[in-house]
Amino acid sequence: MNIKIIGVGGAGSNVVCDLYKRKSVDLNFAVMDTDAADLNRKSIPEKIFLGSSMTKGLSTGGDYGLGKKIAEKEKGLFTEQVQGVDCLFLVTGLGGGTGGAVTPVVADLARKQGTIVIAFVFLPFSMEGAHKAAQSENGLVELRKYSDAVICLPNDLMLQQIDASNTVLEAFSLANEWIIKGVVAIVNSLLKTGIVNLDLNALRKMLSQSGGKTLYSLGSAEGDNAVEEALQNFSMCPLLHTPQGTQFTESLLVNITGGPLLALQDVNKIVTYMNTHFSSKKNSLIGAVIDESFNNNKIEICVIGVSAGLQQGLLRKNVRNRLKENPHQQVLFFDEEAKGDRKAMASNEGGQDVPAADGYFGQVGKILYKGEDLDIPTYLRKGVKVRL
Amino acid sequence: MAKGKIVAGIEIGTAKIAVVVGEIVSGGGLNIIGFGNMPSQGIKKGEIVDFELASAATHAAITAAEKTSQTRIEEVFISQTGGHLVGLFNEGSVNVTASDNAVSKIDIERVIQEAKGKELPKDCVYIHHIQNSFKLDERMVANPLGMMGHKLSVGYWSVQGNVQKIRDHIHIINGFGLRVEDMIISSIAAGSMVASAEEKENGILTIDIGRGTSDFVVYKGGYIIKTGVLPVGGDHITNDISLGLRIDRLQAEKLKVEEGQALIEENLTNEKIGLAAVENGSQRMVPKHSLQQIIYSRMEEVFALIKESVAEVIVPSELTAGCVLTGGTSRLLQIDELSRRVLEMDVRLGVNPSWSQGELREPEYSVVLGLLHYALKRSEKTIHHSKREGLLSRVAKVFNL
Repeated sequence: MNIKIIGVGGAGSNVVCDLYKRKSVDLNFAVMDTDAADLNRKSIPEKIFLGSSMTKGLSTGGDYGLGKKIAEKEKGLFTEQVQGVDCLFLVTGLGGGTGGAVTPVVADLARKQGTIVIAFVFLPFSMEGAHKAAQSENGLVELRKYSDAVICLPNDLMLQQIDASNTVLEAFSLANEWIIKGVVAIVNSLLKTGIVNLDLNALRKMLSQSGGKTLYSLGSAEGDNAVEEALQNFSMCPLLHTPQGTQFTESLLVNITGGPLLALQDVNKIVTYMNTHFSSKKNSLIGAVIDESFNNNKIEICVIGVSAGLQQGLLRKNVRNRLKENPHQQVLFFDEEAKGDRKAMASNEGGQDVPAADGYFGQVGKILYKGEDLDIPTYLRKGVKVRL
Repeated sequence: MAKGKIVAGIEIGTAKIAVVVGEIVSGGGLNIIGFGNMPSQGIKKGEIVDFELASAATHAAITAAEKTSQTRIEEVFISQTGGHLVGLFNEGSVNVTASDNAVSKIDIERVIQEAKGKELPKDCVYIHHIQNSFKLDERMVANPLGMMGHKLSVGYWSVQGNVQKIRDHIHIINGFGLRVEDMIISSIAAGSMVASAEEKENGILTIDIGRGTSDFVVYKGGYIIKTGVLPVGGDHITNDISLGLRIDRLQAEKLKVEEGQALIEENLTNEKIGLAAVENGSQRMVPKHSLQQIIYSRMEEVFALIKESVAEVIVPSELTAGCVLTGGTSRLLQIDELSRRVLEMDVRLGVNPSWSQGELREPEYSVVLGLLHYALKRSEKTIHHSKREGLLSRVAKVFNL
C-alpha cells in the first residue's frame, strides 16, 4: 500500500518535516514550495521546487494569481508525485500564494487516478485582514471540490491554546501535533495489525460520498479510567468547537490506539459514544490498533466525520419550493421579468458551485462585513484568550 | 356594530413568528383583537434557510392569531430584515424651469424622479424610497411648491433587497391564502414604536437587537436619514458561548439568559458557574469571567460597528435625543451601560406604546406592533395603485413614513 504525505508551502512543509523527523510511521514524504531558501532548510530528501522560472526561487509573496500560474505550469511534476499513491495526505496553509493555489491542483490530479485525498489546512488569523481571508476562502472552495475530506485548523484557535508566556512558534507546534496525530492514527490503522483494521476500500467508499464538511477531533488519556477520560478529553478538544465545524456527520472514521491491554469492549464503548454524539446514521469505520510503547492503559482517539453535502441539498430544496406553483401566489413583477427570473432560478438548480457552508450560520452563506466574517466569535478574531 | 377592516402585522423573525391582528375602526384608531406567536424554525440571521419549516411555523402562528381574534385576516403587513438589505442615499437636483423662478409641480416631479432613478443590480429590488427634506438653493424646505429659487434638490434614503429572499416571505403568506398588502423593514417598524416625534426631530438612533440581526435607523429633523442591518444578534452570543466554553447550544443559551451580562466584572478571576450535569454525572464548572469576556467582546463589536456606520451620515453628538434599544437581546443585563460607553451618547431601553398591552409591551414585539401602526397610518391616506404593477414596484413608489 502506497501512502504519502505532501506538504505544500511553508506551513505545510513544516508539519511534514516534524513528522518525518520522528521516523515513527511508514509512509512516503515530500514537500513542495516556491521558496528555494526555505525548501533548502528542510530535512526531507524529496523536495520539489516550484515555479523556478517565475519566482526565481523566491516565495510568491502571497500572490494567489501567481500561485495559480505556477500550479498550471507544474502539473507534470505533480502527476509524477502522486503516481501510484493509494492514500494521499496534503498539508498546507491557506491565505498565502502557494498553498491555496497549488494544493487543489495536486488533489485533482491525484483523485483522477483513484487516490484517496485527505487535506489538512491552516486558515489565516482573522487579524491578518480581509485580503488573506478572501484568498483562503478561494483556496478552500477549490480544495473541497477536489478532495475527499478537508480538515480545517483555524489559526485563531491557536491563540486560545497558549498562555501569554508561550511564543507563537509553540502555538504552531501544537497545531502541527494535531495534524500529525491524525495522520499517524489513520496510517497505523491501515498498515498495522490490530484489533480492528481499517480497509482502504472501505475508507474510499466512506469518503466518496462526502461533500467536504468535515469533523475532526482528538482525545487521549491514561490510567485506570482511561476510556472515560479519553472521551472527556475528546469532547473538550478545541477542534471540535470551531466556528467552521459541524456536529452532524453521515459517517465517521474512528481510530483508536491503545496499549497491549486495549480490549474490544473499550473499542465498543468509544464507538457507541461517537455514534450517539454525532448523529451518524451509517455504520462507522473503525480502526483499533495496539502500540506496544503505550504504557499505563494509555489510549488515543482520533475521529474524522464527513457529511454528504447537506447544505447544498437544502439550498436546492429551497429553490424547488420557490418554483412550485401556488394558487395564491402574488404577481411580483411584470410578466416578462418574472419569466427571465424563473429561468435563472431553474438553471441554478444544479447548484454545483454553491460552496459548502460552515458552522451554525452556514446556511445563510458567508457575509463579510468590511472583510471580517462576523459569524466567527469576536473573542476568537480579536485574540481575547478565554480560559476554561 | 359595524365591523372595521381586519389587518395583521406578521414578523417572520429568527426567534419567533409573531402575528398581531388589529381592527381598524372607521374614523381612525385601531384595536388589537388577536395574537399568535410560534418559535421560529428554518430562519437564521433573519433569512429563511428552510422554506418548508419556516412556512409551517408561520402558518401555525397565523392560525393561532385568527383563532384568538375569532375573525379572518384581510390585509397582511410583513417586516423585512437580513444582511441582503442595502441602503443608499441618492440625491436628485434640477434647475427651476419657470422664468419667474417659482417652483412648479413639474419641477418637483422631475427632481423626485431623478433622485429615485438609479439602476439596481439584476437580482435586487427597491423596498423603500424614503424622502428627506427638499432643498431650494441649499435652504431646507418642507414644501417647495410656489417658492422662489434656482436649484431644487431632494434626497432619498433607498433600501434595496434580494428579490428571491423577499419573495420567500411573500410566498409563505400567500401559501396561507393571504395577500401581502405591504412590507416595511424591521428597523423602521421598531423605530416608529420606541422613538417619539420630538426625538425624531432632535435626532435619535434606534437599534432593534433581535436574535438574528441588529436593525438600526437614524432620525434627524423628523426624517429617516439612514437605516442599516448588521446580521448579528443574540444567536451569535449563544454560538460564541457554545464554542468558547465548549458546551452545547442549549446549555449556552441557558447560561446567556440566566448568567449573562454585557460588562466584565473586575476581581472575578476565580468565580465559577456550575453547568447542569451531563449524562455521565460529572458537573462541569466554567469561569464566570470567561462568559463575560465572550459576551462583552461580541456586544462591544456590535455597537462599535453601528457607531461607525452612523458616523458616515451624521456626527453622533448631533443626535441629541441619544439612542434607544429594543428587541429581545436588549434584555441582556447592562446592555444599556455598555452601549452608552461605546456609542458615547445617552442610551435608554425602549418601551412599546401604551396601546399595546400585556406580553406585547415586551421589547421583542416592537417590530410587529410597528407593522400595525403602519397599517393604520396607511389606511388614513388614500393611495392609488396602478393595477399593472406588482407589489414590489408599487411599494417602492408609495413608501414614506
